Amino acid sequence: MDMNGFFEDLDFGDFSAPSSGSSRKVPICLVLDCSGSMRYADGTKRPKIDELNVNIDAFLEYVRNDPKASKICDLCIITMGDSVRVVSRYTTVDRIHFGHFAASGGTPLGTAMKTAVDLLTERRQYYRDNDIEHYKPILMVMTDGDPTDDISYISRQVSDMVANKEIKIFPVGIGVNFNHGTLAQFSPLLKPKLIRNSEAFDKLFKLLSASSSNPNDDSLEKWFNNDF
Amino acid sequence: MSKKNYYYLDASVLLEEDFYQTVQEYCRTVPDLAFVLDGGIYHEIESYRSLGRVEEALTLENFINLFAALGIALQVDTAGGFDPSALAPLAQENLFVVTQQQKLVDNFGELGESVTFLHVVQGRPVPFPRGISENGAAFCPDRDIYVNPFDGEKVDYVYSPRYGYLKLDKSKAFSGGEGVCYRTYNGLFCKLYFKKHITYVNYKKLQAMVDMGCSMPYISWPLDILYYRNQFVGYVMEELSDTRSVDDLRDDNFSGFRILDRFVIVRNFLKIIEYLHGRDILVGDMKLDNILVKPNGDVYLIDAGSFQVGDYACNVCHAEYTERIYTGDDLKHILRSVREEYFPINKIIFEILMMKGPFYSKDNTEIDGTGSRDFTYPMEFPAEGAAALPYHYKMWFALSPAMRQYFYRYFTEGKVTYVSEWLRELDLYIMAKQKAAAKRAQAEQ
Repeated sequence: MDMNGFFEDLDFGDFSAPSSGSSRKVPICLVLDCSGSMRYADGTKRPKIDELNVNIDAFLEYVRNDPKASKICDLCIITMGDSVRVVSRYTTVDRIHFGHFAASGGTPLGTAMKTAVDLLTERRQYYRDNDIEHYKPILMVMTDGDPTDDISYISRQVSDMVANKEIKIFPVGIGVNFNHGTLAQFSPLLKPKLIRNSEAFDKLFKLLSASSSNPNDDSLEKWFNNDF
Repeated sequence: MSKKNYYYLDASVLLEEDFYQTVQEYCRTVPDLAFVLDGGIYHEIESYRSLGRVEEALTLENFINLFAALGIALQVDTAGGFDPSALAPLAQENLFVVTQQQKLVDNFGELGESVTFLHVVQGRPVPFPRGISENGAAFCPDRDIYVNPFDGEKVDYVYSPRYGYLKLDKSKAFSGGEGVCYRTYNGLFCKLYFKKHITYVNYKKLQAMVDMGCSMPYISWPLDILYYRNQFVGYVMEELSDTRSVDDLRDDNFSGFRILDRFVIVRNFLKIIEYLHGRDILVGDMKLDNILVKPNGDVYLIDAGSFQVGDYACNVCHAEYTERIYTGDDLKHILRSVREEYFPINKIIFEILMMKGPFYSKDNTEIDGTGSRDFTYPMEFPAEGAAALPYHYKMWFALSPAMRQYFYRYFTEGKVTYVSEWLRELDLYIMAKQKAAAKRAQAEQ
């Protein structure tokens, strides 16, 4: 077929614009611990679950109001407690609505992380099917205790994904009694960051906000490396 | 037996004033002479005619007729100066490539040492100047002895010798890699550097830029240096209003602009680059956020303080838009080359036109991922037709064949098409589309 003749006379008349949701995305998945132990303060001014709620609200508010983040941030939220709950599948923040998290139950970290990986795989396929470019997916996992289910398989899988540069993981340990080794199994490159007071909570979510609006901003990574 | 002398002459050199005298002299003085013309010259003639530049078209035609009459010319095809293989047999003899284009020196270099590159200065052929593709050393003293860095973010007013005291509107800060910008209350815009960028080198660079001035109105050029209590803190420029960054527009699929407007935006952007490169200035930190567009398609380049000017380096970079990775130390010590700047130029204009990155494919959806920087846009039109193509492929095939060639050669072979050539092709293309649109409008009436 004569491709040049084909398009020359079109004067672009037959071009329909790409759909508005097809611009670049920054996929961010939050895996949040809402187990019973989050009811206690543990170094923070208020109970850890309250710190989490306050900061998640502030983060969502930032993303909603930032003209860039509101367009490009593709957010997924998973909680673990009595069960693993997908609060929001990957979507833009204007479509995310939920009440405050309550703390109860155990810490099914293995199941929650598997859900995160499954949802990311599904989302990648969606990007492929809809011709959407995206920056490297960010997975932030926050927990205050030991897992109550098996993490051996999923931690290896996630660790491999990080090593293969398929995702960036930001492991966060909350409180003074946190077991460092658990989260380290998921993260071969970055050491888990321990958050032991309200200021650190605030800082973490502010830096995550910066990443949501500017994927090239590496301040979150630098903070994890204490290179700040 | 003595070797034959082949002189490859391209259109750029034939259009030099009084070049026919050089041709006459070659005919008189060079033994076993043959001129070599590129088949692409007919396309050049056609282009000049379409652009209404009849004088150039006639000059080229006259040369063709002259060489035909002399009977000592042969024709080769180099695919628009990208592929020198047709010249390889001639390089076994004495081959002289006479051109005004850096592109030919870059692309024909692979023919080997035996080829001599000449260009014309004041009607005379002289050896082509040293390649502009090499890196040089930046001006970078070991210690910044004259400047004591302090926190520029905390000041409320600044002083400019030219504009006097300027009160900063701190209600909105525009943060960048090197500092923060604030509006003033009289139509100016102040950039205050972060502590680590309040350096002697930056001070000297800005001073040079202020002295140099800029006649291109589409660059947010430093107008004066800013001080706070006699301490250098940044520079002042004119405020731009009613603009959106290309980064923002890309996330919005350039809504409000027609497809042809995007070609106009690219052309306007390249005109700025042509102006800067012509003055030995590189943008350095070229990225979508630093290119602003007005609703009428006018393009402005901001963050001029970070440009590479003379031997003052550009201290910032953006991994997504650089060909190689620079460490902080490299950025201070190494001057970037014009050639390197063609990576962001190609990537940015590609993104404006296709609204997808050049390395995007179904198998590589991640921007700047570890996935490769492989260029997978096809040169062959797919057999299944246009209807099924995604938007970015439709755009790709809506480019002119020459534009596709420019991108393809750059992203697959690293062969650069310089701004002047891009601009001419864009002018032709835009004009053709405008004519087609006018014709259609007339037919509809």
